[in-house]
Amino acid sequence: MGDNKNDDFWKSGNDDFWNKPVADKDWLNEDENSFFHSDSRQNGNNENPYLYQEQLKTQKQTDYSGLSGEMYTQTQSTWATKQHQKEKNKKKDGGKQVHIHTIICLVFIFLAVISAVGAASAIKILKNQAAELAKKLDYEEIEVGDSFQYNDNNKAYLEDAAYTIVTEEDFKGFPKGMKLIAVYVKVESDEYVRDGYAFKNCYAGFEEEGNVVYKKPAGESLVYSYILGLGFDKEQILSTYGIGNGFNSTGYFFFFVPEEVDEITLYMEKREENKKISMLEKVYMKNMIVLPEEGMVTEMLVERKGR
Amino acid sequence: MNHVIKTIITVLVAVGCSFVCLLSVGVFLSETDFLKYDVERMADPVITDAEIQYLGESYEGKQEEGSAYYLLTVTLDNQYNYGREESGIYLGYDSYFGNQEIYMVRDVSDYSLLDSLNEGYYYPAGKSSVYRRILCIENGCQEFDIVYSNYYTKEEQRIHVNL
Repeated sequence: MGDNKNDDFWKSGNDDFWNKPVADKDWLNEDENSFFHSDSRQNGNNENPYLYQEQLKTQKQTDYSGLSGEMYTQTQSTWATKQHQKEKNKKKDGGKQVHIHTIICLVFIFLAVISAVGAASAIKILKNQAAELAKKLDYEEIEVGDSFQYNDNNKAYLEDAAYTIVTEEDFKGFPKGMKLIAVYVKVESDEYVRDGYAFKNCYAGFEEEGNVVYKKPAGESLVYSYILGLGFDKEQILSTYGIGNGFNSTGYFFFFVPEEVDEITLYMEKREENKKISMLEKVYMKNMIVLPEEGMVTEMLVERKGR
Repeated sequence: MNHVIKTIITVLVAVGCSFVCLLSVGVFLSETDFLKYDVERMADPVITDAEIQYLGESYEGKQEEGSAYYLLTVTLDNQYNYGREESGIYLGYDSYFGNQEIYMVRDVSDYSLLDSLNEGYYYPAGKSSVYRRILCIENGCQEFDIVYSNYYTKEEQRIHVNL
C-alpha cells in the first residue's frame, strides 16, 4: 500500500461529507450551481454528484495493492478537494466556538463550587473559633458601693437592703415557702452607646439548704398580679434586657426567694460585645440584707417613681 | 450544535452559577450574623455531682402504683462565657444496662408558673449551682444514668446514679 499524502481526503474521516444526504438542500444547490454553470453538462458527462468528470482538471491515479492483491484505485477531483476544504474550515470554526462556550461554563461552575465550598468552610471555622472562645472564661469580680459607673455612659445607684413585698400569708396560692423581694435600682444616663445598657444581665445569689443558688429577676407577667394591689405600676418593674443607655431609669427588680433568706448578693454582668461572641468581662457584686415585710416601707417604695 | 443553543445554555449556566455564588455569600452573612446566639447554645454546664433522695410513694397529692418519688439534686458547674436558665436545661434518664430490664424513670417536676422548685433559677457563667428535679421511678430500679446532651454539638454527659 502506497503512501499518498494527498489522500487526506480519504483519511480525514470526513463522514459528514460522505454521509450528507443527497437531499441536503444547500449542498444540492451548490452542486446544482456548479453543474449548471460548468461545461460538463454540455459535454453530457456522468452526473454522479460526487464526481464531475467535466470538472476534472487534474486527475491522479494511485495504485494500491492490498494484502489480498486487489487493486484499489483512488481518484481525487479538484471539486471534491474544494468541498473537503470547505467542510474542514467549517469544522475548524465550529470547534473554536465550542471551546469558548465550554470554557465560560467551566469558569462559572468553578466559581460557584469555590464560593459554596468556601462559604461552608468559613462558617464552620468561625463557629469552631467562637465555640473555643466561649470556653475561655476570664472575668473580674468587683464589689461595688452605693453608686458606681456601669459602662462609660451609665451611673448606677443601689441600696444596702432589699425589701420583702409579698409573703405566702398575703396571697392564697402564692408559691409555698417563698417570698417576693424588691431591689431598688436607679440609673442616670444621657448618652447612647451601642450595647451600652446597664443591668443587662443581673441575678441574685443566696444560700438555700446549704447550697448557693442564683435566680434571675421575675418577669412582669409573674410579678404584676401580686404588686398591683399594693400600688406599684408596670413602669416600676425593671427589664432585664437592660436599662439606662441614654435614658434615666428608676424602678425595682423583683425576686422570688425562700422565706428564710435574709441576705442576698446582687450580681451584675458587664460584657464585651463583638460580632462573634459576647465575652464576660466584669461582674459587679453588692451584698444586701433582706428586710422583713412592713406596710410603711411598701408605701415608700410605691411612692418612689420617676425616670 | 447550533450556535444559538450553545449560547443560551452558556448564559443559563452563568446565571445559575452566579445565583449560587450570591446564595453562598448570603448564607455566610446570615450564619455569621447569628453566630453569637448559636454559640450560646453550644455551651453547657458540666454535671459534677448527683444525689438522689427518697421522698415516698406519694408527692404533693400525686401517687402512682408501682412507683416511688425521688428528689434528684444535680450540681452544674458552668465554666463558659454564657449563663443558662433553668428552662434551657434538659436531662434524660436511661435505666437500661446490658440485659437488665428497662425501668421507667420519669421527670414529674411541675412546670406551672406557681411552681417554686425551679422557677427563675439561673446558672451563671463561672459559677456552680444545683438543679433539682422530682422523679417518679418504677419499683425495682436500682440504678440509672442521667444523660445531658447538647442539641447542637451532640456532646453527651452521662452520670451514673445508684438508688
